[in-house]
Amino acid sequence: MRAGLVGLCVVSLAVLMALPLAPTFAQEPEQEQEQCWACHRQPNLDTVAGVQAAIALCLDCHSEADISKKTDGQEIPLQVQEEAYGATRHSYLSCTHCHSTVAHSPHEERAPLACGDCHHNLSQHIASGDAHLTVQCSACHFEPDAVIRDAETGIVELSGFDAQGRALDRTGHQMTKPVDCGRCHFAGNDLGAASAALPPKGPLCFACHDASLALYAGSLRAPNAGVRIDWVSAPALVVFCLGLVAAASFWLKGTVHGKADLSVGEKLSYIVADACGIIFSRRLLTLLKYFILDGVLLRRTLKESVSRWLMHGLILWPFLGRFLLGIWTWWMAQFWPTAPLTQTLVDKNAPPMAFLYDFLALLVIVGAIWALMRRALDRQMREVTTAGDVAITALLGGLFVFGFVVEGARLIVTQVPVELAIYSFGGYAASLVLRLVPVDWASAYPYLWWVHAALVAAFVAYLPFSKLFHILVGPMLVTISGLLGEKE
Amino acid sequence: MKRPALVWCLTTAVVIVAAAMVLMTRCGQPISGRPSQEREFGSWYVEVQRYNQGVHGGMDCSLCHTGIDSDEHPDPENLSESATDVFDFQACASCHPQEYEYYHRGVHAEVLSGTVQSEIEYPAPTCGHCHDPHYRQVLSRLQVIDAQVDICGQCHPSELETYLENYHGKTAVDLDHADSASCADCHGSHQVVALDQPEIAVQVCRKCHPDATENMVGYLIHAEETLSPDADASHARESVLLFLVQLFFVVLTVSVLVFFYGHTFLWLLRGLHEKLRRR
Amino acid sequence: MSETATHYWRLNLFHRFIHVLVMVSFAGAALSGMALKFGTAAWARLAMQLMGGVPGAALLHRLCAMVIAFYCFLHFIYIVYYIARRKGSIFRGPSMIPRPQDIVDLWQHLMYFLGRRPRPQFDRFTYWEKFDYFAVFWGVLMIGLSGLVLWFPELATRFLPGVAINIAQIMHSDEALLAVGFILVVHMFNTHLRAEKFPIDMSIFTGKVSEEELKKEHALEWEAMQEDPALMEEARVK
Repeated sequence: MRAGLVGLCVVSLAVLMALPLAPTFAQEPEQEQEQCWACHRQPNLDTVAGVQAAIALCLDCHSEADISKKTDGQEIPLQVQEEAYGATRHSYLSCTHCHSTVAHSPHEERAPLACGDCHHNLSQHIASGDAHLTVQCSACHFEPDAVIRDAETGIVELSGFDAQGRALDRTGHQMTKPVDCGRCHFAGNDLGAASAALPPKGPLCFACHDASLALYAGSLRAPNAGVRIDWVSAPALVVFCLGLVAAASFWLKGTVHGKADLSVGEKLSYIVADACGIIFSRRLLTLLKYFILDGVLLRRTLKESVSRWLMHGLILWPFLGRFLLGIWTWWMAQFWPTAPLTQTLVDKNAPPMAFLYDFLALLVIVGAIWALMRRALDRQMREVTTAGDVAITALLGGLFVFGFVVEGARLIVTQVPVELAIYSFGGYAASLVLRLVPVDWASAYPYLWWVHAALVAAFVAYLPFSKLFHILVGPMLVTISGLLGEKE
Repeated sequence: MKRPALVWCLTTAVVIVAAAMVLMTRCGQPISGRPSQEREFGSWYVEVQRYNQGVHGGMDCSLCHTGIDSDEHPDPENLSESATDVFDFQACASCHPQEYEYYHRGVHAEVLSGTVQSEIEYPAPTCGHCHDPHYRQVLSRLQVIDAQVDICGQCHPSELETYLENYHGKTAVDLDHADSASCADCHGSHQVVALDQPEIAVQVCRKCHPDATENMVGYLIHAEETLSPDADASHARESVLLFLVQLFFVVLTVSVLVFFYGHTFLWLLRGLHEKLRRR
Repeated sequence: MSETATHYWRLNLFHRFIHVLVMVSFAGAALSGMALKFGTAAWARLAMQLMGGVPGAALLHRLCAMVIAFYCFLHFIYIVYYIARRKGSIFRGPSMIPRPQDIVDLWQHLMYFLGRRPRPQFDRFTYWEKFDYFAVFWGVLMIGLSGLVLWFPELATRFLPGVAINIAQIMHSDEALLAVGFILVVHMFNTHLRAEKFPIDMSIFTGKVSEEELKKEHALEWEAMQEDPALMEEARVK
């Protein structure tokens, strides 16, 4: 009896322990659940298995040969060849890494391709002109080269159709490098692009614009892509440097520390020693004080006359403001290209930037006109105006006025909508005038740009030989004068 | 340093810090200290662990997603429909009958059934538009306010804008004041009403302002100031009146400040000039 | 304040006490009010937290409002007392009441700024001081009345339509912005930051003004005092 009871217990225990191993017959709900999760489980896109699972979900439909969508009466092919995709540079990414919004109902692209999520550095594009902020990455970097401009949003994107209206196959996922600017910049384009690609704004342009240190753009090694070379900056800089050397050699003819019979090298070493002695000491603060108070804030001019101070300030401070704005923008674009502040600073059409740039330029023009009027009405004729003075002033005035003309042409060519363009009030006014002239501004724009660049180059090259050299020398002199005064 | 110089330095430092703070806040950085509750609306993917931790966790997909035949799914014909169009929200009624009934008493249900016309381009919301069906979080009062502002604001952007200009919106959303009223506090959560009838609106105001009279209902939370309101807008005359009041004060403020700032600026220059000459 | 220079009394204890109340209540009301008006800014959120959130800021704001009401009441009593005690009408002789000469002074002062004429001579109270004084009346009236509507909306809407609250909100907010914009820049400059007074003019706290400053800033008052030695002696700080 006891043996039987024990045996029953053992068998029951055995059965109980074996139950988990027994096949379960209530399979259908769990199997169905597993069927759902097999596709709809969120894959971990940081793992290879996750990426492959995500790609497999998309390919479930997109590997079929007849998959397409109908747009404007045309069938657009949507079949992705798995091997072809696997051979591209992005093969280790899942579809949703770039097409980040399509795994949703409704099944449509609600946002442009998320290239910027990985490819952060925009400085190359900014150097090429911020008009490229409204150009989608794929418009330049994708194989099929038909590009259109969306009339409503102004965004330039890849077209689904070629020039003959036939549907294009954009499923190859081939990225193009180097980029061919001629894809958009050709005569008669309707993309709002100038008819020729221009070089990036170079080092000379930093005086007023957010520019770059580049003297050319494009790849020198790829003949097809078309290199755009900035022909004016380098010669202008060379002549400018020669001017600096000429000025310096004139200054070095004087006495240093009361001694006249020193060689140039000895004089230079005295000067460098003095400068280091000031900079690497507490006198640096004194230097900064005089630089800011006298050099930038023009205290000595205010002491003489309020109106002269105001007039001169109207020329100097907006100029300085634009310069610092450009440097700051360049700095932000180098180190924080994706920050919202950088995106605003870099966008010439953003209302605050558009207004600020035009307003500062206008202030300079107002100050300059005031100065010219004072000169014209100056009965005492205290100053002598030479031909060179007229030339440098005309160059400066010309490049300012031409700047507004180029801006007006830019607003027309890139088809900036009125509600944005109005913030660049100067450029907008210019564009209204330009529109009256029956010219194709897309073709004229490159010439206007080069004229402006040439004026700037001529101005910079001639600057060390003219009276306007005081722009650079003046602050230096008043600082030195202040330091010397304090020493006594 | 001499005292005047010290004062100048301090003043400049304060101005720079103030300007930096203004710049930082005006340049797109999110200000809210609360994490945003981003919803993956209509996503094809479900995070299994999060789902199982939610209140619907462990429930079979087919309990809500009824009538999916694995042979016909996914159906290419359905691809252009939104998730809520494909999903039949009647499935919620089996477990949430009370809320389902409340919903049908409100104006969202009336728009859905076509009894009431709406100018908003989006379809009327059903359960899934406001309640995330897969994930449930326990939200604080302030997070609920944020969620309402996000969700209701998507279809009612101008009401959102005017709410955020109003004292209730500023305190609730910008300044973390949990006691202030947000969308559902006045308009209801399931049974949603427009509050254009004073007798109903005054009941709502009295939830927080017990002494409110029907006159007080004339106070516009969603106040617009415009010279040319829509002809059939509910408070067209008040909008014009408020615009004129605002215009008067803007003109007054700008003229007084422009005149006196100019006066101050000229005096500053003349004073500096005289001081420099006296040295 | 140099030891040897003669000083004269300009502002009595009551004036200075009221002004301290004005300063403190203005600062408190402005801070709590602007933190609400510009609630989306980071500094505003920080300020709100420091004041104890929206309820704390509301309390501070209304306390300051009560201080403002208090000093207004005190000042009206003072005005009655002052007019009763004053020898001569407030419309003649040195007083805060504006008169046509103030417009002339403003014009002449502007011409002086432009370098067209020497500095004009002013009486006891200059045109900008009179403007500062009456601006408070205007501000307290506009901001105070609208503030009462906002503080007691249920009570106010017993007599007024509900849209009055919206109007009061615009009035209150914009007038306050004007007041803050004016005081922080114009008033601070006029009294402390201009070149002659920089960095601070202590007479609002001490009540005393030096003879040198009196001769420069209020030349006409100085001349009048010369003709009345008894008055001069009474006003002199012993």
